[in-house]
Amino acid sequence: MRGRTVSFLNAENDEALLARVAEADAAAFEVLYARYSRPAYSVALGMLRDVVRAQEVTQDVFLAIWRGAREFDPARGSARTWILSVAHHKSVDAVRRSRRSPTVPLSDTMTGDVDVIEEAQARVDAGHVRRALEVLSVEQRAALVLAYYGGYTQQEIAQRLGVPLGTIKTRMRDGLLRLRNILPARAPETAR
Amino acid sequence: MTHDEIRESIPGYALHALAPEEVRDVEAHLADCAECRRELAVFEEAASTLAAGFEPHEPPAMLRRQVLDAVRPRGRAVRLGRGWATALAAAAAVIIALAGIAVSLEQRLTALATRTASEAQALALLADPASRVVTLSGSAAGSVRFVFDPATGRGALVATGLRDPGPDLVYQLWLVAGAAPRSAGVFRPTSGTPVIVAVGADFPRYQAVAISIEHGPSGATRPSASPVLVGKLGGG
Repeated sequence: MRGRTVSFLNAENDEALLARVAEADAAAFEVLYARYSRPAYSVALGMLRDVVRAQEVTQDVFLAIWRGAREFDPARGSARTWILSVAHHKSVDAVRRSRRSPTVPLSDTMTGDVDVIEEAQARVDAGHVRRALEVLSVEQRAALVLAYYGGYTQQEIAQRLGVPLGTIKTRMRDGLLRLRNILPARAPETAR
Repeated sequence: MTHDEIRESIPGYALHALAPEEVRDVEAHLADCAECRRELAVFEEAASTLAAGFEPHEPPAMLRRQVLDAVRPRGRAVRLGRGWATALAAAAAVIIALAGIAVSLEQRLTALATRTASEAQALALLADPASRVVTLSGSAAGSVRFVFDPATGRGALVATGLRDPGPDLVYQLWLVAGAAPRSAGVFRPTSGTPVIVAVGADFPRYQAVAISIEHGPSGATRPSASPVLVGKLGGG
């Protein structure tokens, strides 16, 4: 009976599974774990570079999904986007906790512009994402890479690059809008 | 902050690049601005495509068990009865008690199967001469032992005489390796009968088992207070 239940759930889309998880359906949660543990763990490991901490963060991510599934609103985006956003958010929080102090300016933690951007950019492994980022202007790419892969705040990025905060906000906005036209929402690397 | 100022920070919010104060401002505004919510959906989708950039890695199989166990902690606490008949009667009583609660039949059956399996696992471990037994000690009264087999990765906590931790509080069991304790389930004591919590883990990796008191029903993701009981496993 259980086998039939699981195979039935396997045919459900992510949004339907999340709706079940919101009703505390552990079997649906198990199917979501099977679909998203790899992409979520890859985000955490890529950000933290530490297997043990990446596992902790991944566990936090799935507990947040279990507890927060009710907050997911399909009108506001796909389940996939929501889950990957939770994974990135928890990973960024963990990266910030691990830096000595969240208020240490980026300029005090790194030796040069190139180092800090390159370090964040080194986390981009997938060729299609690399290529998409190369389509952006250097400035847009630096802002997005430092924010998403580096885990820095927009204030830290503005300080580090010595440009006004408003400029960084604009670069992030324009960069994301351009990416949206280049990258498919469901990328092959994390599709399972 | 004004709508326009908040709107400028929506991409940063989608990238998780805001300071905590800004996050609060943006979230307060999002609650009553449909236009900004629509914008956010666009930027969140674009930001999430960057997740595919990380090198893909398969998480360890053990993580799956930890995550799934963590969402069903109550199903793992067992009342040890006098033999199977008592256990089944107790399980039947639990099912009747659960009938009033809006949980699916599937979950009830899973809980019953988990209970039976935990009890069987604990009994097998207690009978196995290869098992090791660690007595936990600390500030909490009670007799608490952890029995485990390092070779098979099976273990169980058997606790009697623990005090009720208080309303809305639970005991949470942790496996300790370095500075990163892992939750191994939560339980509440039952008067007169032992509590069993089944634990599967690669025990040689861990130095100790510990119990802390946390907020129920599902406990904490990391210990919020000092442990009340600790037992050394010797691994790590």
